[in-house]
Amino acid sequence: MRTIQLISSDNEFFVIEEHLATLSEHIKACVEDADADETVLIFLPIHSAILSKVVQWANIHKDDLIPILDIGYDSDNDDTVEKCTNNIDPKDVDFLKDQKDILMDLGEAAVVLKMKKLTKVVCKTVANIIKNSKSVEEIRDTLNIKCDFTPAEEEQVRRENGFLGNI
Amino acid sequence: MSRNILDLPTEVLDHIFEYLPLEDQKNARQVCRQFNQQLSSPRYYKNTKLRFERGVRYLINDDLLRAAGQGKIHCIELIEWDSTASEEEIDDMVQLFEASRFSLETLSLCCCSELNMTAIFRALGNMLRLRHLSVVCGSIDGSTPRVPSITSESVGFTLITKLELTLISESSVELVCSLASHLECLVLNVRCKDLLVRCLNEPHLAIHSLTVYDVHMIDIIDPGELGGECWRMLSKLETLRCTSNTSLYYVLPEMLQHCRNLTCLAFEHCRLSIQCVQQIDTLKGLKDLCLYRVESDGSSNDPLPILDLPNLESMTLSTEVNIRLSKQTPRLTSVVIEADRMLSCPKAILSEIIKIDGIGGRRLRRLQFKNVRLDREAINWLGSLSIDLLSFEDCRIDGSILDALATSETGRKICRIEMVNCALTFQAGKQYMVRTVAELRAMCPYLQITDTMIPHEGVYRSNSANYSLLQKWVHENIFFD
Repeated sequence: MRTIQLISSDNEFFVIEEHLATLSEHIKACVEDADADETVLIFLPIHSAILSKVVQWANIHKDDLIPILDIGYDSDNDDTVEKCTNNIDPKDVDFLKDQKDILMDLGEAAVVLKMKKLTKVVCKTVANIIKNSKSVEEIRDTLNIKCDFTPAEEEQVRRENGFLGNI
Repeated sequence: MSRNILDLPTEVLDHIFEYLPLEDQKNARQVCRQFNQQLSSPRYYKNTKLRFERGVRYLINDDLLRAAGQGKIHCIELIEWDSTASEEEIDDMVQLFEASRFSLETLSLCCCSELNMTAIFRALGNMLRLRHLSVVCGSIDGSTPRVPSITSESVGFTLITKLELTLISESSVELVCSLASHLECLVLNVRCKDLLVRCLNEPHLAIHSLTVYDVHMIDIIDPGELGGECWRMLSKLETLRCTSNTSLYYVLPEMLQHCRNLTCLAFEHCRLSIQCVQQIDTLKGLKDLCLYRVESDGSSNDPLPILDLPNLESMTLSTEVNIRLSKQTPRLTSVVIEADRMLSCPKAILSEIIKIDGIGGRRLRRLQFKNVRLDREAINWLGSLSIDLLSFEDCRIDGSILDALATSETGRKICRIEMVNCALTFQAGKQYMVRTVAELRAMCPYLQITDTMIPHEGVYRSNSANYSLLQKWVHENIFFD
């Protein structure tokens, strides 16, 4: 049987099941040419603390009815679905609720591993944080961003915002 | 560990920003330099437009002109900009157009005075990206404004591929004629049949999409008025839409006869002759068909025409449409059913669809209901279909349908259910409803209910316990925007 092992940046090993390979374009490409009984080692620039979460997330979706990569109803050309941020899978909402601190790390890992679905879920969650913030100050606080505008620049942005209408 | 959002690759940030509506994008711009810089790129400004309305006087100031000069303005809309505008205002506006010549793609002029339009059209000659022009005119003070004519040396007009126009005077036909050879898409709002005849017979027109609205009851075009030039134009046409159309009643069958490359056909609020419906049947390349509130002639004794369209992929029908579908519609994967009358039942249409050969074994990409009433028996039809997205908009749905979806095999064949602004009615609104939705969720992980209304209070007055349970259910199970 083919074994796939992921090695984190701090040299921890994760033995993963085949199904995770289907969630990540990167892993899929790595194992594509391997023989059926080969062991594939994949070195990743991701810390074990994060990688373990990614594996955990993949396991949550192991039994999904629809293969996660093949998401016809969530396709990129459907604008109405695409813009919507309240359609996050309840399982993902639960999962990410406890991962506030490493949300960005998960996002970065998802990009490295080319996991489309996870990237989407993280992006939607961050978008929701911005949407649910009541003020600019609150966005800065939650996302831990320092304001680097000069007062004049800030005023300029505010004025530009003023004349932009919605379509 | 614990990275900051600013460490993420910029494309991920873009991905996040794309989920934000404009108001939130504006907020996000004020957060920090990087957010502002990224959100200032044209891709986000594409969706914003400048709107000048009578009564709401915008000051065209230096900031706005600077933004225009930086290529940030893609769409301008002028509404009722009439003779009350001062000379100074016109000058300002012309200056704005000059400044945004590198980026302006869409311009719509709605009920503007002739003088103002002339000033703007002069400025438009220098545009470098203008692709979409819309000129809506109505009579102001009893007189009809002339659409300014354009000279052949105005480069700015040569890029326009989409024109939306009210056909109200000779001058509007002249505009169509002078833009004819570049146009790909033409939307005509017809007020006079002779003007439409002249447009359709324009020899240089080579569009692939034509939309015709008749706003007022106007004369009907007689057979023979359209000629060879029109047939040549129609033979290249891919999309034809007619809305509240009467003027084409007699010539439509002949027109459709020449539309050999049509892939998308839509009739809304139209009266169609039996010959016309028969012509639709010959358009074998048709992929997308919409028949909404269409009346077809013919007595009730006539057999209903059968549409045999082997390439049909997507269909929009209203509940009262009198047609039958061939059983051989192998590509049909998207169906939208709208009610003509408030909350009528889509029984006849659904039973037509169920009869299509192999429909049960196929995955439907989308089955959408708008403004219909679904009774309990609808489950019999829904039960035989596999659907990626089952969507209800402004519908009244018998709650037991949801129950049936959750407890039967049927629910397993539906990937996602979406309800927008629907009312659910329950005959026995008790504990089992909560169970229903939980189960439905487990089976359809993407079950999404948006803004579903609690049934009208009158329905529930008999049992207040039900009502509070239902309210609880709504709070627990419905994601509010």
